[in-house]
Amino acid sequence: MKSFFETFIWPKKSQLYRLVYLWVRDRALAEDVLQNVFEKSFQKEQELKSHPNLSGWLVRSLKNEVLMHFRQSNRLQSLDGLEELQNEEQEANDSDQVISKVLSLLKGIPLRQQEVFQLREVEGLTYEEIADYLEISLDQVKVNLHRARKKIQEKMSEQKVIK
Amino acid sequence: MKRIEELLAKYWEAETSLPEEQELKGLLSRSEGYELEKEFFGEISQLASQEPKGLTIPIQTWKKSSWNLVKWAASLAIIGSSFYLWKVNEQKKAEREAFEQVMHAFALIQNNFAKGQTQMEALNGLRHLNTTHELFETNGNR
Repeated sequence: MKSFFETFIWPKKSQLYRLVYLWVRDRALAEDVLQNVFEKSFQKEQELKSHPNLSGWLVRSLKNEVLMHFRQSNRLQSLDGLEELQNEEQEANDSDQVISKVLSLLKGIPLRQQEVFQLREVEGLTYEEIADYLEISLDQVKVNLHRARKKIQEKMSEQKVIK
Repeated sequence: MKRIEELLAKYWEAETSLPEEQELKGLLSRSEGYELEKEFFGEISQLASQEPKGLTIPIQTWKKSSWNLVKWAASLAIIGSSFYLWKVNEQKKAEREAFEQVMHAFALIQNNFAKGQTQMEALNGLRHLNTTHELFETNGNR
């Protein structure tokens, strides 16, 4: 019989991995962060069984883990600085050309909008699911997605003009 | 074409539902033009196919501890059975040694008994003392 972890948390590994990758832009680090949070969630399995928002808990734990990692290396004091860090890292670490194209479209967009965009476009989640993941209201999801798409449309229009 | 334009407009305004977004992607893939949009959705699906490679399901703590217990129990069983076999072997060795000692003692007794018997044979002549009348068949009362 599968455990709670295997049934409800493990299947989210790919979605969560891509979300962490969006924040840190480093595959190995994204996997390390995710593995650490999986270990913690495994230990708290009983507590999480009755948690009203498991996805939200996981995303928040992942953010804390990322923050802790960057604090330890004195590179970041709060998650607000993650966008700047992303922009610094992007040129250095994005070896995969295709992914870097998508990520370059997200460059300069506020982190919250990037997250909503990724959860909708890449993961295909509903507004309700995104609201749970990011622990925000439905309206905030809609507003952030609208702003993200508008900015991406502008960037694509600029590209069209250049081409 | 008109449907694509309609869906694209709704998409950029973030007013499309998930089924409509799927429909848009399907229509784009079957239509001429819209190269930038096709490239955009293509890249997104590439990003969606990225998978973690080194993640593992954590091992349950009780499984860890029970595994440690099993290892300890196995070690103890090996040590215990080795001790038992050694003990049995020692006991058999002691029994064999005792048996050999007893046999050796018996052999010594037998040897000495045989030796004594040989020595006693010399005394056999003594039984003829005061029996000359028997030897020479004479009557002692004469």
